[in-house]
Amino acid sequence: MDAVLRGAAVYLFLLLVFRVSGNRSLSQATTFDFVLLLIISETTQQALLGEDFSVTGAFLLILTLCVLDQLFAWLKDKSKLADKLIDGLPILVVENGKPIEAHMRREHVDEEDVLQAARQHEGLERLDQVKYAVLERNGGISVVPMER
Amino acid sequence: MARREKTPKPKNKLPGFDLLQDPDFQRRTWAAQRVGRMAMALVVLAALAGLVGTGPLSETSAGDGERLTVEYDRFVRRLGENRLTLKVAPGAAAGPEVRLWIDAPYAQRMEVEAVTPEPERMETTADRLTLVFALARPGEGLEAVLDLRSRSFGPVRGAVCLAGGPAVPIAQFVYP
Repeated sequence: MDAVLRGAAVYLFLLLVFRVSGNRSLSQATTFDFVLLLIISETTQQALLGEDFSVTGAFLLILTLCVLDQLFAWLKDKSKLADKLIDGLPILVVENGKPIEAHMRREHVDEEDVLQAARQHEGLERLDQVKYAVLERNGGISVVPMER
Repeated sequence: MARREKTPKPKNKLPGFDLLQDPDFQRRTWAAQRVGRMAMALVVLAALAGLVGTGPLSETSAGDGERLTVEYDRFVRRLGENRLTLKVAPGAAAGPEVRLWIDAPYAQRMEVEAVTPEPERMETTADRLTLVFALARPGEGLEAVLDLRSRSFGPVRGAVCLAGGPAVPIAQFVYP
């Protein structure tokens, strides 16, 4: 019982924390984001397993996390509101080559981030070649180029 | 080339698009996944109930009727903590001390990590581990908690006894 409850508590806590921190917190955009991810997983491990070193305990914890994940996936299928609450919404950050400052500021995305995505995925050179840039729900930035 | 001809190619419904598709196999996979997911949820529910470790269905107690009651978990996990609560009724021990013993095979499989309150002394003989508690007032009750950690897995049987009384058998199952 305790393993299941510990797993559920950590899952829900992480869900809440990353939802509050915003879409980009785990997108591994920078090296430090990656380091952060490592540190969090190390810290979480202690809380999850506690003093339980059994194989059964580890299996049970994995099952708990997977079942919760499926439960949330099911919930998101059933309810649009739950989907929005859990995963958030994509956010438009550039429209017709013009950055939308208010959105960018709130999501801590700057022009450099957009340009990086534009170069990586579309081979673009300047912001005015970007028709739309969207901060997706997984924290990545997708870019739609202007028609040439 | 000859090898490739042996494996029948799944029908490709999208000409020009090289996508490996096998609808029959996929349907079977989905069916298996549905069953698997239900099984996973059931295991988690069983664990919540206490069938795979601590929980409401795991808690049980045994006693000799009036003098000694033992509360313990039916299902525990190897290297995980589990606890044995020994309750001695007031008046059960006449003298200034209470002597409780656990049979040695059980004590060997379940390592005693801590005893609360701390016993005055522990005596080990070939067949039993005896805990001696001092009482502040003769004849008063006692509640001793033993924190145990199992070193092996499988079914474990043991006995706890208040000196002079009948042995109270306990049976546990230790998950690996």
